[in-house]
Amino acid sequence: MDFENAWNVVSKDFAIFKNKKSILYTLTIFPLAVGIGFTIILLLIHNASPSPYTTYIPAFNGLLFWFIILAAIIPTAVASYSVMGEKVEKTLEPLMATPLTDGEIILGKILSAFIPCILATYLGAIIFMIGIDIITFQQLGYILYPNWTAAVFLLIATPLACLFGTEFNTLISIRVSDVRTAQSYGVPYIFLYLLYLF
Amino acid sequence: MIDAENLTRKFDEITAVDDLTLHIGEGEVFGFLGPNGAGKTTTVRMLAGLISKTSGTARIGEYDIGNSEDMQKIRRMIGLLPENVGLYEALSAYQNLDYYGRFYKISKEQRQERIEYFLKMLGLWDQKDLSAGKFSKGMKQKLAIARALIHDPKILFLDEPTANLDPEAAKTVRDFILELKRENRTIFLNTHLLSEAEKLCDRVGIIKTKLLAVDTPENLIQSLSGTKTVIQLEIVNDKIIMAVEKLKSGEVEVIDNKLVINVIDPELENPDILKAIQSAGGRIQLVNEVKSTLEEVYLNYVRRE
Repeated sequence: MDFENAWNVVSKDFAIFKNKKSILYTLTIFPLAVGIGFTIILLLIHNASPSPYTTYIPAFNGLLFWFIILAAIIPTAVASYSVMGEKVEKTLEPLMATPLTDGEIILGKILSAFIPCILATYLGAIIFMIGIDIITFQQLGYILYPNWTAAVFLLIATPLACLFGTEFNTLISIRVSDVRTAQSYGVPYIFLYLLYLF
Repeated sequence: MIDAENLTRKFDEITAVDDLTLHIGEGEVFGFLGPNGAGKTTTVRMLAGLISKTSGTARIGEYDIGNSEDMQKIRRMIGLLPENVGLYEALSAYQNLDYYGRFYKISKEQRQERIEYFLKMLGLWDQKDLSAGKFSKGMKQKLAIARALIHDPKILFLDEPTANLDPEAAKTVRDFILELKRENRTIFLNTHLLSEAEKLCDRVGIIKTKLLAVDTPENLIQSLSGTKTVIQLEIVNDKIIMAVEKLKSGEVEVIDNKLVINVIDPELENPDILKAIQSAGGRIQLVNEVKSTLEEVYLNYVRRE
């Protein structure tokens, strides 16, 4: 396994993603919507029935669970496009005529979906945590996030879910013939699997 | 350089390539002719290691296509232009070539040098930063040829390199293949275009699942009863036809006021034919010699199967 070859696939995919609006939107809008949206919803709930923020801490932590789901679902768009793009543009044949091995192609494809998806999820999570800290700091008197719960959720469970989502969608995309089919299989299966796990 | 022995590929019950035995020498341009579905692309895909063989053996240089370690070495030796060019349309021409160059561990400076050389040679240098998706079919084809050459391979597999190109673009590609031939590269050329094969190839093979014939275009043409003598007469009547049929039974075709006669040795046979026509009262206006074409040879073999 030549990691340089796999990384070459990753950097090529990144160059393509930069020009692909649907990928850019998926990688920015979803995490931003979840990160900002959750913060605003919590603020609204608190304003409607004010009670000490300490009672909300389990709810705040519980919402971090959604970032695990987010990390597993975003790859349905990115990984599907990454593999299906090769199929649609018929670039696999010339690629397979190079010294690149199947393992290097698959590793490259998994990394090229995993890296932006995990970074996008972290972006959303960081926005959420900063938002919660800003809202709660004055009353709590300390910064709630980052804490050990967030560390477990975000540094262990989230990358695992993202890796699972990426690998699952990469494998589905290898089997099917278009992006939508891959996504329509990917999202419900991953969602159900994560619900089962937790 | 390319040696196949009894190479066979089956897709379930369908045999795509049957018992192919073929030897192609170094520096040779070999044309592979055949109708759609004859097994040309399957052969290239087997030789390039894209699909496995069902039985038989094949070697590229000293390496066996059935051995996975050898296959890695083969991939460094060969360049492939597939039927579908398969370019990354969102990437520029330069990025497309640079991406492939990296897999062959070519240094950055060398990649830059080669990309510039090929893009200039193929007239694409000014469009180097344009995304491949904006290229015309001809430009894409040229870019794909440059991609196949980026690592300076000894052997090139070109699958229908001029298909769907306008005449000017097709000529540029053909001229480029001639240039590659002068560089002593071994070229395996799949084509539908018989005139192209006649112009470019040292030898051609005709395939329709099985290999039907292999030889130089000249020898194949010669093997199809040589040439035709076309005799234009003032009037063609039964008496004249019968007189010629006596000499060349079953070899005479009448088209308007012309007799088209298959001859093996025109210098020996034509004087007797002309004499017979004149004896039958025919008035000869014009005599022409027409050589058989590779197209006739090809159709002869393909229709016979």
